[in-house]
Amino acid sequence: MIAKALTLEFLKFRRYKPFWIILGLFVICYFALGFSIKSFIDYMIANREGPFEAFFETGLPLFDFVDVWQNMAYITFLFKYILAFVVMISICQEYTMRTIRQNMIDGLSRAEYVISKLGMVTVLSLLAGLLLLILGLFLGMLYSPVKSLDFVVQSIEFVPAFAFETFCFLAFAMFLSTLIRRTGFAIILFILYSLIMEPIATTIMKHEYELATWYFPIRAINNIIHLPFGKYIFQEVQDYVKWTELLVAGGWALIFIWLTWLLMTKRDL
Amino acid sequence: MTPVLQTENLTKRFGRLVAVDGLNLEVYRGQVFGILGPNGSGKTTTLAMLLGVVKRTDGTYIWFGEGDHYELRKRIGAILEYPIFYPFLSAVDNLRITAHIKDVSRYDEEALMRLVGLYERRKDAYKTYSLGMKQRLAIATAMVGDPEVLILDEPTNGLDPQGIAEVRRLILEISAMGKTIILASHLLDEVQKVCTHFCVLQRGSKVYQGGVADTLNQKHRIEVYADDPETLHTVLKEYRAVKTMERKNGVIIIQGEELSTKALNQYLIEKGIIASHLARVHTNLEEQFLEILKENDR
Repeated sequence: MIAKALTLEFLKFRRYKPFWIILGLFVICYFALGFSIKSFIDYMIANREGPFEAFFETGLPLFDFVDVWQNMAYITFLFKYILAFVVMISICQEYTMRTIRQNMIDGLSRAEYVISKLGMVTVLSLLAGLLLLILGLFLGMLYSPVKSLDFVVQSIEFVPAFAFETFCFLAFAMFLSTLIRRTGFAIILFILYSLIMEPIATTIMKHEYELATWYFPIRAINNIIHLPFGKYIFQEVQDYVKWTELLVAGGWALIFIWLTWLLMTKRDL
Repeated sequence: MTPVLQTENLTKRFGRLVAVDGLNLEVYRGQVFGILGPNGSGKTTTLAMLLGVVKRTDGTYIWFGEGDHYELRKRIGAILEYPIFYPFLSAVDNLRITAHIKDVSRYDEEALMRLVGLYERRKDAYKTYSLGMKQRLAIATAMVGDPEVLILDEPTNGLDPQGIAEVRRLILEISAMGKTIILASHLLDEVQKVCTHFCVLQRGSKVYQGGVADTLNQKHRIEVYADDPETLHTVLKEYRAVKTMERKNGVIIIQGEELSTKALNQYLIEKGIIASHLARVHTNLEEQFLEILKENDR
């Protein structure tokens, strides 16, 4: 059943050029970003003066093993959006072209449909994890002073954590596009909520209800990988993945998948 | 014999609007069953319920005497309203998706494409097709996996006369292969030309059901004219087989179920009237249809 669902998704996308172009650009940009940071730091080191002089004195150990995984996972967090848009376009198009209706008429079950979209979400999340793995290894091997295996694999948990974070995020995208069903509207709402509305709400609430803000979906999902750079100015940061945070994000993913399923079973197509 | 399709009290409400109201239908193997009705009479909603894309409010439907499970839809080929395909995919790629959903691993792609006359264009993207080609591809897709039942919803909508003729020829060809076809249409002419049985829907209710041939023969109408229309009128009024009478420019048209020109002629002669014109009027479905609708409008 899962194989059938995945093949179905592949058959639909196989010759859809925009999909492959976006995905191709995504991969290129992902690597380009990693390397641009390297050259940016090189530039800063070469021209160091002013307030940050001391800061760049030693060169930032951004790409050192152990650190590289969390650093890169954090820096590339925005890339989730590209994948989210791909998911949203794919789902909304099924509605605007009404192909979802024809799929059901042809004998696809609603469960099979949800599994096929969930399959795409999973594959894209794995892709994100894979890219992080390749980028981290590449940068680390080039620039890290230590390259022994036990250093390389230490903190490599950020790779599956990044894939998981992407998965939860895409589950949200899947739910929202199933709810809205129109590409443009769904994408704008998605951006509006995740980049503007929720951050505003959590910022306002943070003062009074610090704890409650951890349970907002986008915050919970982005919170799996903490901001790592504090450690370079000797702040204490969370440089590991916390189970409780994984659970909160995973809980949201389950809720979104469940809501998608509910919408699919309750609605006329 | 188990019907291919049986519905009982099938009902769909959209809020206060009753789109389909307690529909009971039976379709048997080998029939070309027409669902006839004006626009908005609930044809598409009915088919959408039977195909599981619209949730029914009440009632049941049973496919192949087995039930309403989605797996059963794999034995049905259907198009609702208009052809729906992935525009960026070619005919064969779209066909492949349908086959994949229906769990059909082998099908004769070339034969299907040739059947609907799309073989030359089979590798072009769907969005480059004309409306007629799209309709024909829809029929080809519905045929994937050799389904037992074909459901066609307004299959000639928006086609030019040549396209209409082609699609109708195709339907008859497919019917000759022994398939059951359910065809929704607001065109009476179409139902008359291709269907063996039909029902009439009006505002979601079934107002008539019967065989096309039976219906056409059921009501006999005869035109009579004689030199003395007044006497003719009185005499005809007394004739037992006459149910209704109307006068049109001096010609009297009578209608009844057991009318025959021969018996009527004999009766008139017995009564001393020589009819100068006596002819059977051939009714078509169009008149029957309008009549049925009119009767139910009261």
